[in-house]
Amino acid sequence: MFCTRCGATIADTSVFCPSCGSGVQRPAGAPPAAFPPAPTPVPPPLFAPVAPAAPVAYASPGTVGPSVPLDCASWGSRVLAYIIDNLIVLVLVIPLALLAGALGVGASALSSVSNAGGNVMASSCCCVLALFPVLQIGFGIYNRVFLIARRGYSIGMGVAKIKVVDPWGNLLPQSTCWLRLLVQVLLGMVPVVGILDLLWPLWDQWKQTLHDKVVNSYVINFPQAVAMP
Amino acid sequence: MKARTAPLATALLLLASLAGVRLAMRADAGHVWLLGRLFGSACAFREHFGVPCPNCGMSRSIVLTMHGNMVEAMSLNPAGPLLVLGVLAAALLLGIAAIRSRDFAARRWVMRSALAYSGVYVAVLIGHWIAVIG
Repeated sequence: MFCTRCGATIADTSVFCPSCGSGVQRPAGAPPAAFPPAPTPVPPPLFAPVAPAAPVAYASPGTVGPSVPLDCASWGSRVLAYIIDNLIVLVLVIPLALLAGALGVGASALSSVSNAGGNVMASSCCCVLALFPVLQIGFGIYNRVFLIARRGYSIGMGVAKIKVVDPWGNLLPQSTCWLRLLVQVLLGMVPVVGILDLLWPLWDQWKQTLHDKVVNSYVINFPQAVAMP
Repeated sequence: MKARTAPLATALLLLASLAGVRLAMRADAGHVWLLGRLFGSACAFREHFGVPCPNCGMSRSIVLTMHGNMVEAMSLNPAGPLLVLGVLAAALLLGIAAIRSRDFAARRWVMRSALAYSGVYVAVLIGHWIAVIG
């Protein structure tokens, strides 16, 4: 069989591609590969597989679970990444907030001298304020969709040394990243469910959030991650 | 240990928050009181745009639901009773997750239920808002 990522020829029993290190994707219903195969010395895989002593590697019937053993990231690492990603947005928003404040003060000062000048300043202030959500959405899409689809981790995830993969250890396609973000936003709109989504890895077997479960993605430890975009 | 204590602690926290609302808060159609004092502030969205936001009436609706006044709660914001129901369901679910096996939390129906509930909640919230401002 061939690697779906790099096209290299690989053994039928392989779990990882010896050429690019990505997990081997198998069609639904195919028997699971023997693990660990490790046929020949190969380049280091993109993620670290769990030690052979791991108690449960595959999903039991009726549950969502990985198709290959994955070294799932801890809740603390995920929260760290989440906080960093949100702090970055805050850092981007602060200059805009200062600009909006300055324009607002200018508008009130100018309105006492000239109505037209005050109106221009007030309109500029509103435009800057309208940029907040645009900036948040734009950066969120770049960080949580584009970067994760391209390399597997957002900036915050890079700092926390974790990445997002599918059940076979491959990177998620961009469409799945979009769906993952949309589900997270939807769940975040519901007060209780939003909190549960954040806390779910604490008691989940594969340390998944609810939005991970919807798209069947997993967050794993990835020591090779580099924080910068 | 954490796999059991975390869901149990979260379930107890959710139930405690509902009990806190029931014991410490009161409401009528226009006001909410916390420990006998008027609680809450004017909605910034309503102040600025002159129409209520989707969450307007939620505090009153939740408090009224917890005091058993379902009809008035539904008329203020139907998402309030739905939220209380969701908290109760989540607490029950997490209690079961704490008692049962580890993979209970990974069951597909749990994830689907959360997603379905979220969809219904947002639809009710937005639907009610459109009806109010329409």
